Amino acid sequence: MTFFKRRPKRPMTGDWISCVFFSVILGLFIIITAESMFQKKPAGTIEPSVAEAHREVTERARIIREVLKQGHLELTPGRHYRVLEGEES
Amino acid sequence: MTPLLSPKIQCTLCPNLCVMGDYERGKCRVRINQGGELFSLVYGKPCAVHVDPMEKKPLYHFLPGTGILSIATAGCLLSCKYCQNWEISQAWPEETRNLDLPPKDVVDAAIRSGSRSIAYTYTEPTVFYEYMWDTCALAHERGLRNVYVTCGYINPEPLRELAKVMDAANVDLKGFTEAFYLDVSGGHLQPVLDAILLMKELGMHVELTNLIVPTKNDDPKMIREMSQWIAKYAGGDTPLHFSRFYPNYRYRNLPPTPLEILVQAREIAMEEGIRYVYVGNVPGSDYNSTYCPSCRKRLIHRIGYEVLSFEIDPETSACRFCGTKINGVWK
Ligand code: SF4
Repeated sequence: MTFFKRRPKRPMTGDWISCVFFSVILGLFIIITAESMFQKKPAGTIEPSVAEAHREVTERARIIREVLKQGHLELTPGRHYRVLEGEES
Repeated sequence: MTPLLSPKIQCTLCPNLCVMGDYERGKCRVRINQGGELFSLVYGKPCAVHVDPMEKKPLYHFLPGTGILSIATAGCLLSCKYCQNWEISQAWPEETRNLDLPPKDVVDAAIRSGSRSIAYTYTEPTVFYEYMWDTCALAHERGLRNVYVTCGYINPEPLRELAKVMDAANVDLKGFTEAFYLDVSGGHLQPVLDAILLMKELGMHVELTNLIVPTKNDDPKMIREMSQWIAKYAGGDTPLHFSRFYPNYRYRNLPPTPLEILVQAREIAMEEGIRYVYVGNVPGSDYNSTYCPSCRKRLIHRIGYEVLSFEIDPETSACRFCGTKINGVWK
């Protein structure tokens, strides 16, 4: 009895099937991973940092509403300013 | 979908160039970003309204002896440690007691009070730029003049626009070193110098005030350098007022300016070629009066804010004694 019996040679067709099978699996994995990376977040999902900033702005807005009421003040459009595009509050 | 956060904005009215997030205010406390647009909190909301003599602004070469309706809102672009009006200039607009006085009512009040002009003063009028501009335009339509009492901390573009409706300015040139401006006022010197020259170029009548604070900006060398700059660039016929400091705000520990310092400053300025130099906040001083630079005769005799005699021909702006032309707006 020998441990090193030569395995019978597989027919070639088996090798091709497993190669295609693993290629498909690998392809699907790459596609799914890539898609999830570039996919837009579904509506309603907010990054925690943005949510925090939003809460802060909402609080500032509340304070200003109080200030306007307390000082009998109004907001009148001003001149001489520029919007910093791409820089959110 | 509307963006969650509005864009930041940058106010370009004064050299502070404040960047504001949504619902944030600038350094002056009265300009705010709401939804990516800039708004003024003090339009039509003055916290001070008085009728003053023109001499109180101080303007000595602009319609002397006339009354001037003077308005101010809360807020300032600078934070001078010796501010004489700090209760309103360093206040938030919700902390002051404000009137409801739209531009039309200001002009009506000026006319009713017999004033010939309106002053934007006490705090820093640049902070209520839109209110000031609209009032100026209406005042012109009704035959009134406008006076801008300012620290001169304004950017060139808004100043050009303002000069279309503004007749005269008294600019507070606080000192003549960058270090003084940074330490005492929280601003810079160069923009003020640029604004003074631009006002002159745009045809406004300009007078300058320098409030001398003991130990802070009373160095004769600095006063000489400032006088040299004024004589060379703004012109020797620009009236200059050296004003007396009284302890106030964060400089309550300093004494009032000694009279000799003010007189010495006047002498230095005259040596450097400035022809009309006054000493202010000193009632009864001889240096409140205007003298002809040629014949040395007294042309306008002032005691305090009172004008007792006037010897300038308003038609020709000439000295009644020798005919020398005197810089100013006399009618
Ligand atoms: S005017 Fe006020 S908000 Fe605008 S730059 Fe100057 S300090 Fe800032």
